[in-house]
Amino acid sequence: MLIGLEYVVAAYGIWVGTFAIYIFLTKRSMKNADQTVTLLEQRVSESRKKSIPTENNENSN
Amino acid sequence: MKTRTKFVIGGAVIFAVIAALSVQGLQEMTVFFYTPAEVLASPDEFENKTIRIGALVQKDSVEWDAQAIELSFKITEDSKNFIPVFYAGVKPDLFREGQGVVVEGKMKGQRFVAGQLLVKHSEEYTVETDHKKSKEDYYRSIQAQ
Amino acid sequence: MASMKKIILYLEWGSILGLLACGLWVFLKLPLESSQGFPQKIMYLHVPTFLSTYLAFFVVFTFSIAYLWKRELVFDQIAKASAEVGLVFCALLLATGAIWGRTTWGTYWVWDARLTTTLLLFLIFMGYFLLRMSVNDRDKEARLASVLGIIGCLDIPIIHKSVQWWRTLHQPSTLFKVESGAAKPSMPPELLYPLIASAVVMLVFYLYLLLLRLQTEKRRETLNQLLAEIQN
Repeated sequence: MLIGLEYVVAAYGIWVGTFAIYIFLTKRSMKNADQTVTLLEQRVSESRKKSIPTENNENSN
Repeated sequence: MKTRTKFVIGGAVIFAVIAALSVQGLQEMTVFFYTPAEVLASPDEFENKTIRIGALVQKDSVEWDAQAIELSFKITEDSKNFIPVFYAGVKPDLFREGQGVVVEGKMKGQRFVAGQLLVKHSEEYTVETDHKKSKEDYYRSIQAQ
Repeated sequence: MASMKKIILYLEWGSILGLLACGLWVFLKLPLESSQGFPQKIMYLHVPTFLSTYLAFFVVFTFSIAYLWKRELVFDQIAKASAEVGLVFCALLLATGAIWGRTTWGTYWVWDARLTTTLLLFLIFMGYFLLRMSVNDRDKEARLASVLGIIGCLDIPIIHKSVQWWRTLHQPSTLFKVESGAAKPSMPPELLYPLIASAVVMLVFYLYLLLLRLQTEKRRETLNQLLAEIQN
């Protein structure tokens, strides 16, 4: 075996592993934010549609 | 405008505190090791105090007792002032004659008894150009040891 | 915004393929360094990582000043994104350095000037994110973070010069070695070129991470604004 192989493997492994996790988490958080934004926008536009004809009874919830 | 001035003043104060603290802290770590000449110049000051000395391993001074796992060698920075070092421990992979080392321990009389032996490698990187070591050669050289 | 997505995608694939190519070059083509042997390969990870760390915090420094000057939210978002990416790079810088130190020096850690100031940088930016989390007002958060970001980045030149100013276990710079006024890296070309290539590729990788993180940040900001609107 090459002398110091385990150290080189550990260094490269930690580096690649850390960024793989970091990129995964960042992308997931972007996706979650995206989905929530679309959901909220839908809800807001729906509630606006509902509230337009009956503008007087606002904030029924 | 007033709040901004406050922030500038506050920032300056924080910066001054950090600077003052780090200068004080830095003074302790700035001298990570002493040189043999410094230690030999004032032996009383360093006697029985845990210190680090950084120097080069003198050629033909290394004695390695593989049975007892004991290493003794001389360190120097100018090939004039020597300090004999005794180290009871495994020889680091990169330890060799002419190599820079940092030893941590205590002066016991004329001898430095090290508890830790660190190799200080240089910023020079080289490749053996005459016969470039292929991986196979390297492999063989390890097995031959 | 669609074009931004495309740029990120190109950078993603470009940097991943580039990193792979550098890895193959380093492990299959390079001769072994004569004194260290195989563990010298860690250099191709460690040195580009510190260059990316420097760049990341230089971006934090620049955009923190820009924010305090212009008060544009996007500048603070860029500084925040870069600080987070820089913190990851800095953690990996310490990790790869510790592993490399174990094989060459014989220790994972010493309290010498280079290592201590690098750890200080890491801790300052941990504090930077704690500060951001503890302030609720968005403008106040941006102002305070900008001030801390600027102060924290002043550690970078100290780190870089530490090996020249003080006696350290860490060796002086190989890549930025200057001899009689001219740049003279102390490495033969066959070891130097892949190092430069790895550094360039890793800076592209940093740019990819920055843009990815910035887009996520903008998305989160939109979400927070929407939530605030709904609550009112």
